[in-house]
Amino acid sequence: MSPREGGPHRTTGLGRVLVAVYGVFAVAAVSRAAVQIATRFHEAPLAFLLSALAGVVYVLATLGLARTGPRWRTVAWVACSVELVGVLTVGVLSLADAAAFPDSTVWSAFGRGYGFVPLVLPVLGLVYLRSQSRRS
Amino acid sequence: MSGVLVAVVCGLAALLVAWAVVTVARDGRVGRPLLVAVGVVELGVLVLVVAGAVDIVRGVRPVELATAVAYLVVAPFVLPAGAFWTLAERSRPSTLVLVVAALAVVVIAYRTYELFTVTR
Repeated sequence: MSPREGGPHRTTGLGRVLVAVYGVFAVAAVSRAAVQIATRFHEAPLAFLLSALAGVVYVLATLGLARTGPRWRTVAWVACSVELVGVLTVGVLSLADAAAFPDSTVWSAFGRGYGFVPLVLPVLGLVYLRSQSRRS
Repeated sequence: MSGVLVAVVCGLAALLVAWAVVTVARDGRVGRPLLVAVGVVELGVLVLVVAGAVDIVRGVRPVELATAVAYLVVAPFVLPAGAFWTLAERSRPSTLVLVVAALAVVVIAYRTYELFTVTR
């Protein structure tokens, strides 16, 4: 299943499932960050800015995985990598310094509030990207 | 918000998940019956959204009002988006997209209920 099968600009096969899951998380993370920043930004600026960053990263990863072509692949690689680093860093920080993260973000405690999907997702994304680059 | 209504929507969405999974497992294609099922679940979601909106209009104030409203606004778009994305490519893995969307509906319905239970 080559990435070009469904036309030049679309991802096919299992990649679509990944895009769907990423899409759900993009919407969830962006909405959550928007609500947090709009209603009580002063409570924990750092946590909520990280929340917003997570949202942006999910949107970029969704787009990068949904589209094909070298530029979007790069976007996807960077987004998934940042995501993995982010979920690990925030995961550790939220456990070590709970006071700085009073309201859970998508990445708090390694994404426990979301069934650890945020921890698994970047790994799946990177594995998928690797398999794609090997094929071409 | 009625717990029974939420339970029904969650149950229907869970059935849709199961049906879509079976379709993938049998390497079947997404046909009209499955799309009708998507429509039925979507109808349930719309009823849920209306129920939530009516609650808010009547003065129910969830503690996390903004989040609750965001859930009500996003909820109706999940299944249509999933169905559209599934139909855009009729392949086996593509049907899994519908599974993801239906699972998301289960979670969204349940979370909406939770948000509407904790009120001021």
